[in-house]
Amino acid sequence: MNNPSTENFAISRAALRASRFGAMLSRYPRALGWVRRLMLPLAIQDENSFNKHFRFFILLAGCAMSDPKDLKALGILSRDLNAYMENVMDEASDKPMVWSEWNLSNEILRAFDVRQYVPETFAIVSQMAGSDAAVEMIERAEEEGMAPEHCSAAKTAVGALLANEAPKPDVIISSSHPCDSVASSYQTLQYMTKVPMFVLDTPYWDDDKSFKHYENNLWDLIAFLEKHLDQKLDWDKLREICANVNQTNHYLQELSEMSRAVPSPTSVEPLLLSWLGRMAAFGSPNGMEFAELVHANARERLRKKRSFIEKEKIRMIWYDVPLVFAPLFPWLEKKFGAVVVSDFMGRIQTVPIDTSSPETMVRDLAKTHLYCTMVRHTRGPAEFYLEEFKKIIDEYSGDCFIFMGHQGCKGGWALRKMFRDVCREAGLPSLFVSSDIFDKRHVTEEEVKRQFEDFFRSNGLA
Amino acid sequence: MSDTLDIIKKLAEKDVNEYITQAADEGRKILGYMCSFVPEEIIHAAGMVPYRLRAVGSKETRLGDTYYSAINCSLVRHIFDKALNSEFAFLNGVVFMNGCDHARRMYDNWRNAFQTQGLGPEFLHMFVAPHTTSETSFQRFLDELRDFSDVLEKHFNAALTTEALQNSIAIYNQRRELLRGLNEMRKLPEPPIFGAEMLAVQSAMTSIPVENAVDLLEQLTIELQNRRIDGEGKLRIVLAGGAMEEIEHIQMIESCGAIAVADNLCTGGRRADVSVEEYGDPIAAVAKRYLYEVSCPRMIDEFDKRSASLEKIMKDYRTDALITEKLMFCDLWGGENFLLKQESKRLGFPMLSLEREMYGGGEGQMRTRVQAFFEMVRNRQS
Repeated sequence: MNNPSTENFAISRAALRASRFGAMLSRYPRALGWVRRLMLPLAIQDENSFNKHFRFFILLAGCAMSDPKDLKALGILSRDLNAYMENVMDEASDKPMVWSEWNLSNEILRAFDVRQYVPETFAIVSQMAGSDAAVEMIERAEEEGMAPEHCSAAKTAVGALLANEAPKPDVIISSSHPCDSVASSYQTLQYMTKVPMFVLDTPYWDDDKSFKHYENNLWDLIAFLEKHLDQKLDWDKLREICANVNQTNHYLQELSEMSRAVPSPTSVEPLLLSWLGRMAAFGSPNGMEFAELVHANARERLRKKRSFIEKEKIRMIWYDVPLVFAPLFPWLEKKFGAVVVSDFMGRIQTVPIDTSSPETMVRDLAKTHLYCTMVRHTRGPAEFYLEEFKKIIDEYSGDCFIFMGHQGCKGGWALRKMFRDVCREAGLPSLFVSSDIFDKRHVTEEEVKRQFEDFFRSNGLA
Repeated sequence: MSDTLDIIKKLAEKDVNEYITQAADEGRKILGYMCSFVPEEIIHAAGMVPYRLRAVGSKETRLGDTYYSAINCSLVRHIFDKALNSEFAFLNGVVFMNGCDHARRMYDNWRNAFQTQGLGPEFLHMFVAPHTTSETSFQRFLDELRDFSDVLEKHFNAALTTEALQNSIAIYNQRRELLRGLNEMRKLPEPPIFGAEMLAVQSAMTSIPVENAVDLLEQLTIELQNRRIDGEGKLRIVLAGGAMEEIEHIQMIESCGAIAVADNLCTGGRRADVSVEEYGDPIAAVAKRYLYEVSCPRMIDEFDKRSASLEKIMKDYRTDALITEKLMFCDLWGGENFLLKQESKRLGFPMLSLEREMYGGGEGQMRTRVQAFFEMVRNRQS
């Protein structure tokens, strides 16, 4: 099914060039601050034929961080991202290539001598080559016959394979979370690549039996990898990675909590970007350094009771997904002083990993995997969404609730009434937007922005 | 003609039937469930009647839509709409399953309606089945089955003994054997039963006590011995898909010049094809059958097995083409269709994918597609 006439990694190479350029700029945060000031208007105005090629790049190169102090942190994170992309495209490497689903945490994988590729990451990374790239991949997958209702992340992953943007795998790791769409798409990827695939069975509940079941799955995964990669897991390396993960999670979890303060000392962007870092290399020294720096900067602002933007006016609680194809957050911050104080994808809430033995590491990795963003909400009953949501409402002084409903998240949409009921009881105005995280064909940026303007005005927030 | 077939067809057309009413009058509890992975034998062994929830008779989803969105499955919205209209008031409990993202949310929504609107019954249970067939998953499933047995015993004050479970396994196997017998007859050049009728039989059997089902199927088997449908000039097709209960839809397909001689539907042949072993630990036997043999697209590591099984069905039943039936917004069958399409190219069998909203109309357009597909199949054969 692959198209041999397409140049391998054409989009990925363009994305890597942009990312490297961004990393180079971030070495000069002061200069980047000026670049940001000049470029921000271009990034946040509605998409046009000119700015669509570089808006996401501008975002990653600095516009995501409203405080120039954080710009340096982006450069640190981009080291991992660049290394990840370079590895993906390194066709000369003799290291085995493992594909790993985007909701899986890849600490165990990193304790093997392998290259790794997260198929859904392409939907994010490719934005650096322009916002049409993901749509192009989605259309490739749909033309091949993939169901239109599938999650656009899953369709992008299949499209990337068809368009020779994905490396050839030796094994694939997948799971039964976060949704039917992603789980189903891995059967497609496995069918198309014909390589061995290991599927982690995700438990529904949060009880001891469920954690134990997932822990057993991880042991099975290790056995699978050792067999198919013909390598032994490096436990010392895993210990080091887990220690870094603990430290990274500590910073990011505190960062999540700092947004309780009014004004919030941090944007949600570092947390969302850390998600990208997690996919690229979770538990890396760079990821830890990034987390430490954004944490320190936010703590400094917290101490001074300063917002990360000029003036915070509206505090938003944001569920489901961000719009990756459109830089909404900088627009909301600049136009309305609206900041996201807690969100579904970025918020970190997990447990530390006991690194004292292989057994304790695998036991606790099972928990941290199941507590990962999205995984901890989607795999179980409604309470997994709603209890955390109620807590956020109680503790984060939100002015409104935004449900940026992604077309792929059928399970989330099926809880629409319960979300509304919680908001009504809390007296929180709510906006439900029908959107798609990567597919800009579903709803235009202009339409989404119009809905925000109407919502803020009709509720007296702006 | 078959009197029993007429009786069964009428059973398939409605929710509440005299058999269920009689069982309830005799003091048996009726337990609703939604997915083929829910082990009927265990419910039966606890002295209850398992009853598969269907959307039959539903005309709208107005109330269901207050909970679900427009991108959620229409089967689920119809069933929940009926629940909110108290059309399942005769149930003593409902067992949900993590079959798909839409269906599993009914556990949440029904509990919410119970808490906020007093929608019964009180017993609402989530039964969790793994998505893989590894040894680890098997052990987990075994554990889940034991827990499920305990929950039923405790909540309904029932005694679920090993002997009772063995008896339940035996009678459900009897039902499966009888259904398999009917399916065997469909291999004949002139099968005794249309696909639409067979779907009615299979649907009806899930909404009456198994004892009555066995009696009716025995009678039907005798009555169908001398019944033959003229297959001259008709294509032999196999249907595959998830939950399917719209008998008129299959009638429409068959009216275009075909007989559906086999199926791999969630509500059809897939339920009957493999029995539970009647030796050894009965719980383990139930676990084996349900985990390893009810393969549907929710099982992530089994496509090759499903494809091989479908290929065998097509060969055994000498079918000319495959029609897959998918409900809109079903990711699992969306993915499966994609793979089956690749398999149809690889193996060289014609395939048509139909997508519908449950009881959603659009027959004219669908008929045109089916007619064009059949014409294409015939042209290819000639």
